[in-house]
Amino acid sequence: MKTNSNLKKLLEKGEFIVTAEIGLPVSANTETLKKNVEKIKGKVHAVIASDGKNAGVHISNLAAAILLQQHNIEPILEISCRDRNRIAIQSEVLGAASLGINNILCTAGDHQKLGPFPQSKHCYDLDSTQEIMMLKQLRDEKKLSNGQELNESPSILIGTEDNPFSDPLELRIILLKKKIKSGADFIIARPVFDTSKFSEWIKALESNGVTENVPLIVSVLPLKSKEMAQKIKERPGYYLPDTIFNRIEKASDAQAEGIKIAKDIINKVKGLKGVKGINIIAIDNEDAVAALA
Amino acid sequence: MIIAERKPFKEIQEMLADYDKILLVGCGTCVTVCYAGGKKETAVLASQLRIARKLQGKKIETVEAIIERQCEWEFVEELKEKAEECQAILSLGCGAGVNTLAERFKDIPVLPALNTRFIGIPQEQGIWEEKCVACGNCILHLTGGICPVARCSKGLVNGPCEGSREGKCEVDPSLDCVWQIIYDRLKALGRLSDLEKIIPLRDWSKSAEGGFRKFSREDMTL
Repeated sequence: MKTNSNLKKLLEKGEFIVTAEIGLPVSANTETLKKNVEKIKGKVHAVIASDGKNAGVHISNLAAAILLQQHNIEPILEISCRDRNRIAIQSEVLGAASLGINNILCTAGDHQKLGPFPQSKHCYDLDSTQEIMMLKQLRDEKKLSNGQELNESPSILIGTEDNPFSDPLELRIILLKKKIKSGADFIIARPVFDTSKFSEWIKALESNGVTENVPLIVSVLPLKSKEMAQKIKERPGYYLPDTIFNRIEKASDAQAEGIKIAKDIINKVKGLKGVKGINIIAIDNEDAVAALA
Repeated sequence: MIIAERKPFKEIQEMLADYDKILLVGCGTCVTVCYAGGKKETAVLASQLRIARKLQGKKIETVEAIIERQCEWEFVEELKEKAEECQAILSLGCGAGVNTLAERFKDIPVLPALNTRFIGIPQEQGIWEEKCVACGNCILHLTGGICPVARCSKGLVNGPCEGSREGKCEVDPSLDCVWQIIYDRLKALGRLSDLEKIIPLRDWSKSAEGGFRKFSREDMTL
């Protein structure tokens, strides 16, 4: 595989990877984002430029990736299947690669009904397995999805996501194996709050040979307040056990307790076989990166 | 079958504002079964319209007709005489029915009384569920006869999204995740290997998104 991804090089060197996801502005003004980027600079190996997070409007993923690059931070460009068809996704990947953006995170994306534009129409020309397959062909066979040949292929690293807390586990493993067979080079796991459930998931991954060749980066989401914990608890795709919720609820300083919980989780997952890095989700909580990285 | 539901009365009233004599056309097939546009619903709507006009101090004359299927020329032809004496036709058929009436009666405005919802079935009494999106490229042999294109909120074909948990869809916890249903069925059938097959990029050219759809069969054309 030919890739210009620095993240790939670091993974190959066996470096424990630290990435982050930060908030993108709902504005054409990026001053706050620039300040946040400066805060985390030097503390992380790469940052995710998210794509229509929570089905809302923000500065675009590509704009965010370029901004990260301008601040000498390697971006991971998320491209969700919700808003783009195969024409748009391939165009975006070629455009990103032409700008030296070489890490692509393929995701299904949050459903629009869960966001502030529930009347909008989604795309889903592809699912994320098909997106991965298409990008692998683009890179390794120098061909667009219709077979049209390229004179230069994008040197990309292809990522996928999975949720250790979705079920049934057997089905999740079947799907993850399909994504890897289709070409996923790394996996980012959704935020972990329950390390014992997570351990079961990672054991299943290991026994199915998933983590043998594909590095896993585990997301950790530092909680800031009781209100935030409540929101996370209610949000689909997250599993926040009562023990963690109660710790935040009872804490005199919820933010400090959130950092403590995140540190505990990082310490526990770090030692697990197959875990090659952590991803700190620090949306509107960018100071947490310095505390955890 | 086609599942439809009646439009809000106010919307129907507004679209009929310019007409004093209308033909209400019910349909004896799908919309009769889903209680949206059968004989009874047509009569009820006609009465409602007359009462509403009377309350406004105005009049409307309603003519009613129920035909077997609004989507076939032979049945639509039965409406000729009644249609020609009215200023407008209010169809209680699905979208296909409205279109057929509009194509047949070129000089008469044809208006929809229903919103056509989907291809589905009456899941329980009073509850209808979508089962097919007519994508034109069926993959049901790989998914245990249960359609993820129609029944997964994201239409994903290789497996569930990351939001599915305890058999429920992330979009609405009252919805079952179709991937759980597919998994349970294939597991019971001993055919989980079907799920291991990677479904490549699909050809949507035969779907609604591929542009206007029309096809012909040489063996059937005259």
